[in-house]
This record gives sequence, C-alpha cells and structure tokens, in this order.
Amino acid sequence: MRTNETTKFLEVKNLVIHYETDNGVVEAVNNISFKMNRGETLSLVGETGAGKTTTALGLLNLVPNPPGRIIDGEILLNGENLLKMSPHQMQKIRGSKITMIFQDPMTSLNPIETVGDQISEVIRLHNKVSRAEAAQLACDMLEKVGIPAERYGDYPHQFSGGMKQRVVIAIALACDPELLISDEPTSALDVTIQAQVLDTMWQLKKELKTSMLMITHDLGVVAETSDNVAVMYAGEIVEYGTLRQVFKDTKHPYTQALFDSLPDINKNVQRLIPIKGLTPDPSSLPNYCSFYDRCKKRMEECKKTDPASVDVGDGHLVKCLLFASERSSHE
Amino acid sequence: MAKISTPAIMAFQINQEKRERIFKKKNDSTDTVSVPLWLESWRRLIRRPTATLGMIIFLALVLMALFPSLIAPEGYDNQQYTKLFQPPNAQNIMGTDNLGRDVFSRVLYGARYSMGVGFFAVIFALLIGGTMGSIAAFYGGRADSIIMRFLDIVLSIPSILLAIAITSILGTNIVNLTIAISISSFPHYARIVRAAILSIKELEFVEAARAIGASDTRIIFRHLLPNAMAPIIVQATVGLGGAILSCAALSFIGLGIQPPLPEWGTMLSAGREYIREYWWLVVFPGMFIMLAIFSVNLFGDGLRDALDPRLKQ
Repeated sequence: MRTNETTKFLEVKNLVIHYETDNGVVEAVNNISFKMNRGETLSLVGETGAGKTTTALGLLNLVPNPPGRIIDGEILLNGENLLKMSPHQMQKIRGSKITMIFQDPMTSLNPIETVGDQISEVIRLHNKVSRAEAAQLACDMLEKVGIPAERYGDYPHQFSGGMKQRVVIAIALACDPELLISDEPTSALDVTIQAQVLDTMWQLKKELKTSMLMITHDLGVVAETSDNVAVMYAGEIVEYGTLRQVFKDTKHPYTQALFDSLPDINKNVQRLIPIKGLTPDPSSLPNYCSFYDRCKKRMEECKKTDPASVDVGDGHLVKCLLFASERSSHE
Repeated sequence: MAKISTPAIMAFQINQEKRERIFKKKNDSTDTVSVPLWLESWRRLIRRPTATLGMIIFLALVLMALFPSLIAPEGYDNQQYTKLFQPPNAQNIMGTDNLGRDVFSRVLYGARYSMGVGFFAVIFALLIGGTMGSIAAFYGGRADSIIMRFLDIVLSIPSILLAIAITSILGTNIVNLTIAISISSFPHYARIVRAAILSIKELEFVEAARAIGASDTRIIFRHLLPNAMAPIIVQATVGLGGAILSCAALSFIGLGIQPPLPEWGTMLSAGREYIREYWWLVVFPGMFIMLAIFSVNLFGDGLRDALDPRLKQ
C-alpha cells in the first residue's frame, strides 16, 4: 500500500509483564511480540483480562509499580529501546511521541480545570510556546475534533460523554504524536456517539499520519479501523495478521470461536454459540496451551507442550499445534 | 487548518444549533455563559444564612485586626490614672482596666495578635503538613510509612503540652508562639491532605496526565492538590479557630504574648485577679475569643457545604 514511506517504527519483542501481589504472581503479559509500521493501525483484540491494557501501559512504561513489573523484553521505537530510558527521557516521549486515550472520558479529564487549559497544558509541556500561542493551538485542536473554540473556558462537567472523549482525543493529538494508543476509546459511549467519535479519530489519524494501537473487544470496530489485528488470549498473542487474514482466513480456534459468538445479520439463528468456560486464572496459567480447556479442536498432544507461533503464510502468525504440524520441518 | 466535516460531525453540529435555538426560545434571558467554579461555590455559600453570618463576623474581626487604629478611641497602652476600673460607659464602652486603659481599644488591637498568630500558624502548619501529606500519599510505600509513623508520634503528644514545651525551649515571643502552635497542629493537616490525595490519585485523569508526559511535581501541584482543596480549606478554617484558642491559652498561662501587648488571652490572664469586682476585664476579651472561634467554625461549615459539588441544587 504505502510501501515507500513505510518503515518499521515500533517493534515489541518478547514483552513479559507480571503483577507481583501477595496472593502470587499474576502473569498478565507473556512473551508477546509485534511490529508496527508508520501510519498503520493495529488492533489488539481479546476478552477482559487478556492483558491488552497492561500491554498498552507497558508501551508507555506506566505499568503501576508496585505491583506491576516489566520482567523482560524490548520495546523499540524508531530503534530506541524505551525500557532502557531514564524516567526523564520517558516523560518527554509520553505525550509527544506516544500518547494514550483512556477508556472512560468521564474520569480522564481533570474536573476542576477548563478543557482548554488541559489541552494547552500538553502543548506547553512539549513545545516552547507562549501561553497565548498554546491557547491558540488548543482552540485549533478543539475545532479539529468538532467542538466550537468558544468552549475553551468550559469545565468537563459541562460536556457530554461524547464531547469529553473528543476533548481527550484533542489532548492526545495536540502534540502530533507518532503513536496513539487508544484503550477502548468508545466502550463508555453509546452506539451513535461511538460512530461519531471513531469517525473523528479516523479522520485525524489520516490527517496527521499517526499510527494507532487500538485496544478493543468490539470486532466491528476492528473491522472498520484496522490494518492489522492481534488476538490476545491469557496474555499471549494467539493470532496475528492483516485484517483480511484474521477475518477471512481465520485459523486459531479461539479467534474462530470469537466470530462464532457474534450475531450475524444474514443468518437466522436461535442462539449464539458462546465459548464455554472462563479465561484461565492468570496467576496459575497451565504450562500447556492456555486455551486447551475451552478449545473445541483440542488434541492429546495439546496438553503436552505450549505451542510456538508459526507463520502460516504472508506473516499470518498462529499459536496453535494444529498448524505447527504443517510447518514442523520449517521450525 | 482545515476543518473536518464528516456527515456524523455535520449532523452533530446541526443538532447542536437546533438545541441552542430551542433553548434560547424557551428562555431568552438565560445566561448561557458558563459559570466559573468559584462563583458557583460563592453563590452556594451566601445562600446559607449561618455561613453568611459567620463570614460577616469573621470579616469584621479581620478588619479590626488589620486597621485597629481607625476604630479604637485610644491607644492600647494609654494609661490614665484618673479613671481606673471604670465600668462600661459612653466614653469607654467596655470600661477601663487596672491601669486606666480602654478595654475596647485593647480588644481591637488584640485582634491583630490573636488572629494574626492563628492565621500564620495555620498557613505554616498547612505548608509543612500539606507537603508531608502529599509526598506520603503520592509516593506511598516506604515514604508513606515513615512519614505517617512520624506523624503518629507527634499526634500522640497532647498538642497543648507540645506547644508549652516548644515555647519554653524557644522562648516566648510572637514568632516562637506561632511556630509552637503550627508544630503542634500540622499532623492533622498532613492526614487530611494524604487522605484527600489518596482518593484522587487513583482517578484516571492522573494516569492520563502521566500519559501526556507530566512530571511528578506537576501532577501533585497542578492536578492533585487543586482537586483536594475542598477538605483542605475546611480543615484550615476549622483549624484557625483551634489556633486562635491555643494562642489565647498559651498567652493565658504566660507562655505567649507578654503584657503590655493586648492579646486576648493575655488580657484574660491579667484581668483574672479582678474578676470578682470588675467583670468587664475578662468578659469582653473572652467574648471576642468566643466570637472569633464561633464565626470561623460557622464559616468553615458553610465552606464545606459550598465546596462540595454533590450538594449542588
């Protein structure tokens, strides 16, 4: 597509994040790796508790510590390892290079500061501009997300949920970041507002050529917005590929089950097919495939080893023994 | 900068215009300009008669403390041996004392010392306590344990005893009195600030502030402390009453402000000997101590309600 300006700019290698609590170690993120190209959107999909948010916080080095700890791995942004940076260097990266939109717009704005001041705060943190210039830029930013600039001096409680999320987007994009992490940006909003907010994000992302890591459990949102998709289960990426590969050529039994549990407008079914059971307890993960207990296609061998990710063609990675056999010679 | 107009946004804007039009038709005089937070709190405050009363008395006392020379008929140390122990009359509305000094003038000048010491003691206690409390809450863990255990130790000493000990070590003058009172009360401020910040720092906007690259100091001073202001202001006003009382108490036992300076507690102490025959020597200073604390408490109560947005009508 955009091959000429495409460069690998984010690379996550073998990231492991644990929460060390009194009741044992919670293995939130286990050895995940992925790459992102500039301008591209990657979706992280998975159930609640699959480690999506922890991964995102890991990218910003904001995993709450204690109890959280990044055990191992590398996060390379333009070739520089973010995990090796000093807290001060990392502070400069946050907001200007990588930034994050949080799930709930109701609580992610400071209730006693005007929205305009909150936008100009991030501008003034990362650029040497005067107060007036920052205010001007903040007004432009408000207009960009579809809020009249006259509302610069209003407080968050005077905005509706959708408007607040627009303000949050304005704050996130005010410094023209390279990577925007959005952690379920629309789950706290109702459906019509969701569409509007996603639309705004999508437009701005295209205009500013921002790369986006989209965290969601809404496969509809994924289908509309992403270039690539990573399906997470119990802290691991079980399937990774382009939108087309994952949606049309679904390989992993878990991804398959996710699609089966969605209502389809073209089919007349009485009941949806849920995935039986619950996600495994992340503080005592099995040493074999973590999806084994809920898998419909499980085999004897599955209980013996934890499968490795295999490339089933064109960068489509699947972490399942069903496909390991095809490529066992290759491994 | 190009304005984006997707169908969704356009629809949204049209809707908004419609809303505004309807709104305007319904009530043309409605002020659509947003009301700043402090103005809203102010309105809530003056709607309460008791709080307003407290505030008026308090402001009157503050004016007395600031400009006593404008109101007082005489200086606080004008001795007139021709009229000792005059009962309240038209010329000396609160009578005169054993040296012929006008009690009313002395009470007016006394406001400066009593309220001044109280005020600076609270500010000082708030600075130490606030800093310790926010560090303890923000960093948690070991810093929290060390600071809080230290505060527990300070709290376990009766505050008036602590203040007595400090003034006797440092010597008796106004500055030392202020220091003694603030040291004996700062743990309360530290606890209030810590509790307020602990509840706020878990909110998502703090994490969001981190995600845009704000430093720890910036988060504490710009995002946490302003949001914790309501309980801090309330504790400060209530604490002001306590500080005025401590100041009077220490002066009464001779460890505070020394005669001839007319601190209210000092005046009580000096008038104590004559209480049987000349009641006005103790009643009026005592009444002003009471009035000051009463007004501050009313005002503080009103402030707590006014600053609590949940009580918004």
